[in-house]
Amino acid sequence: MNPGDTKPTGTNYIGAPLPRAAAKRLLAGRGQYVDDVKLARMAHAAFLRSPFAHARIVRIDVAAARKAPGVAAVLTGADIAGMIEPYSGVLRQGLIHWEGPEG
Amino acid sequence: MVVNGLPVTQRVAARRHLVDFLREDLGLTGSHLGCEHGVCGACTVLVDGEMVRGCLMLAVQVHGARVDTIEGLSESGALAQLQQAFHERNAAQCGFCTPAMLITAAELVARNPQATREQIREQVSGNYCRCTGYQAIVEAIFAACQARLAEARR
Repeated sequence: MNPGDTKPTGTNYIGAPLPRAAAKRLLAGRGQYVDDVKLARMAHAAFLRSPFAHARIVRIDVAAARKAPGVAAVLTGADIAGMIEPYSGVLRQGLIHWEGPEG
Repeated sequence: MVVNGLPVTQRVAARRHLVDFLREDLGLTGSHLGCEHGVCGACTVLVDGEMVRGCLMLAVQVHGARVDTIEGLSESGALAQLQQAFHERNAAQCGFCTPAMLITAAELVARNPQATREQIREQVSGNYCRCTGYQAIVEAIFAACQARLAEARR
């Protein structure tokens, strides 16, 4: 393969522009993205974000939420911290530093 | 209403947005939700031939109107020239912005195929792309404009 060649020769694809097999489908609007996925009995997740810009979480009371109809589970940072190693802290447990992080 | 050439009649909640109606009730998932407040452009569809933000329009507003989504515009061949140009110039990576980019670009190619690259950038300034850095998209639209001009000259 020489620089400037535009077609792959034999099985040597290095340096050649390659058409993408999925491109036609994506260009026609037939891609599938996460929000397009519909499964039977699919659960939906909702995130509760911190209404405070700077705060310390003292307690998150989820008892009433867990009893609400249609609710499969309510998870706080404390609930999942033990399941993930290492825990990135995506659901906050201690200090909130900006308005928005999930508790 | 007529959606992609087919008559549709449905009861919808007054608050249902057009794009949610198209995606969820009609299964036309080619129109995408990126921001849900009108800035990213991914929800762009045509209503009576004009580009609109599907996330800002209510489904009830298209009562009696003609709606065209990427699915219909692609199948009819209306976007074929642009799709070919996008394909050749690798102007789609993940493809999420692409349906709306094509619809937005088509409006310019039809209205002003002599557009400069600056004008092309202005035209798609309301369509966010997180993948390509826009250059390939601008080149593809420019190429489609050139093709349209060449056709007109024949």
